[in-house]
Amino acid sequence: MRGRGRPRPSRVIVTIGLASAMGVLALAYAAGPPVDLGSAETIQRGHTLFSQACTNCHGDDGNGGPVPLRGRSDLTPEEIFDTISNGRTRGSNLMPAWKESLSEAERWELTAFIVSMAHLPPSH
Amino acid sequence: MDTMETTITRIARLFGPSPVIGAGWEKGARISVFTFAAAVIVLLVEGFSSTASNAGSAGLEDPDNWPQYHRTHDAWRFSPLTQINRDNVKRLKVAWIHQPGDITHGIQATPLAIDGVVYYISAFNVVHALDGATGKAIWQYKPKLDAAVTQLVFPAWSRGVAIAHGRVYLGTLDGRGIALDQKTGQEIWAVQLTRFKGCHGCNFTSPPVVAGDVLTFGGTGGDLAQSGDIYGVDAQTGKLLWTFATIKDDPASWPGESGKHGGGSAWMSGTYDPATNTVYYGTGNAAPWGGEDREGDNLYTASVLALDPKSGALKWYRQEIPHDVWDYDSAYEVLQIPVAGKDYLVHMSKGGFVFVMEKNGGTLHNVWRYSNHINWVDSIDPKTGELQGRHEHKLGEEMIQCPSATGGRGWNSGAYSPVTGLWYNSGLEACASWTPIRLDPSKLGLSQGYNGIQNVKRVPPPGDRASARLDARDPITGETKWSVDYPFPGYGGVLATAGGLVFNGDSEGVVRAHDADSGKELWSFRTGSGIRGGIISYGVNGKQYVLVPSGWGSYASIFAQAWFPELKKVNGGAALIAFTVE
Repeated sequence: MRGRGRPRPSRVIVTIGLASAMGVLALAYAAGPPVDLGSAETIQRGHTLFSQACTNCHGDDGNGGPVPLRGRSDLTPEEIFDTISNGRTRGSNLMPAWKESLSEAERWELTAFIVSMAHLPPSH
Repeated sequence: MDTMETTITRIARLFGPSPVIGAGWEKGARISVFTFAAAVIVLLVEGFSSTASNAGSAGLEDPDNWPQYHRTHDAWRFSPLTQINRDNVKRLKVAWIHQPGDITHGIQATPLAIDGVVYYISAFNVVHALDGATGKAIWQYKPKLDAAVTQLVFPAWSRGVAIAHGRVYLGTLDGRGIALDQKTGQEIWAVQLTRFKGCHGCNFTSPPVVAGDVLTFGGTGGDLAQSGDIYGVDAQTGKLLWTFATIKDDPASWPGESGKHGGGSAWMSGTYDPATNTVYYGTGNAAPWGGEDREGDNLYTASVLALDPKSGALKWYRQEIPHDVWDYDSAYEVLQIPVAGKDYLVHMSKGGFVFVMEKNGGTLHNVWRYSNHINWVDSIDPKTGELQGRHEHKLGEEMIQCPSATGGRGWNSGAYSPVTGLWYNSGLEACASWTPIRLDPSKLGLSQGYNGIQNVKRVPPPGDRASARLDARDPITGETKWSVDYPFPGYGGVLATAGGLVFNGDSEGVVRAHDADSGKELWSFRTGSGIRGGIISYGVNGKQYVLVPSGWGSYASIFAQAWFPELKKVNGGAALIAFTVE
């Protein structure tokens, strides 16, 4: 009989909540980044931010750290933005979540800089 | 006869009641063979050790237990047990393994062992109590942490817990002090100590110090836009008794508003010396790393502090790196060594020098060079401590610095053996270049440190390769007795034993036992993940164990890959592995 009855109200609420959250997220991504990821100015602003906030672990040119960010053509801009925003909260190494430390525009500027390195060869 | 009686009396004085002994030596109960052997060996070697006045020191007491961070307040990390020794270490086998179930940042803790129970802390402040003979879980405590801990610069790890008064004490990632019932793991009290979000996430990543009825907590934050504090807390109630500011309120030391964000936190565990009723702490670097906006000596950053635990009053201090512009913390352990009737403090700076001070007052006795590659200063006067020929980073200019900000040795403690009179440390020869930049501390988010650097490159020493070693030195003079090359740096706490052994783990995950006299490798075991915690030894039911925390993670694991690319292949993990000889 388990699972055949009417959904419990709490499950309904959770489901609606999740669906709403995913919808908001989808709309946000569907709307696209609020900056031009290919703009030289955006990339430069992202580079400056990267130098201030990310360089100690990832290296100034994105070549340091356990996962070098140069040459990461496998990552979509949305995936990069999501990782910057929410960090890596489990695993042998963490990355802080930056959504409360940087504005959305700043996180997209960082994304633009990382995307700009996607086709560079990692040097090691 | 007199000699034998004297020896037995001294053994009793040295070791006192022991869980292995049962009801205790003074009551006539049996003493374990290996405990007795330890006592005899220590007494016999007195005449051969260069530090002949060690017998009777705290470092030899309570041999079966590892009751505090460095086992004893003198920070020796020395086990007087001898059941595992040079002759049988090749037969060392795994007795049990415990996995905490969360590999986040591996394990950086030094476990404690008291009366046959092992206590340790894993990712996100989860505390475990285990049967020391079997590894079976007795209790687990999982705190409810502020969700913001995932946004922090110092986010998941802890170096240990403290135990006293039937309680287990910890400092948390969200800046609280917590007391647990030692038997059950039930929470007794919890108090908020740091301002947490109000100080850019300053929190606790090291255990408090037990100083009688007072606990002292040192917070993180040498690299945060905040000013460091040490907190004195009533061990029974958790009530805050005092706060000591590691940033001195003095415009000559900190111009303008610079001290408000000057860092200087005491982020490692301190030590309590009951003989002088003093808590010793080392303090962290000044922030930001570049020094243009904080001209002055920047007291009390990069210093050794001697505090009164009852009042928090400063008894004395010695600043090792005035106006630090290299991220050279002085946060490491304060080693106490008696030599020829004098008590010395031996203290390593990240900058690759060791400072030897008199225990009472901190008068300088010597400064010796630990690192081979040092370029930030020409020398340090061993009589005055003056930095001679400073080579400073300048705003906007790139400069290679040796050692790197990771240090000539990492924060993980060395070990001292009173049997050999030698101090064993994991050295790292590596450099880094970086360029200081100006940051507005008021605009930094919770996730952002206040280093103020860019263009960071981790490089080998000029004209050399990055290298690692375990070495044995006279702690007072720095004379090298032996040095063994390591393929990868040791980032775990070293253990020395009266069995003539030195245990050390490397970042690839290999734990080795060396002959304490020669450095010869006698045994090794591949644990499966890099070693970052402190290796300990304890006795239970007449058996000696060596306990090795295995679990790779944290910033050091990231940085080290630049010098040792093979470390990219090291997996994360988290396990306590207990070894014994059958």
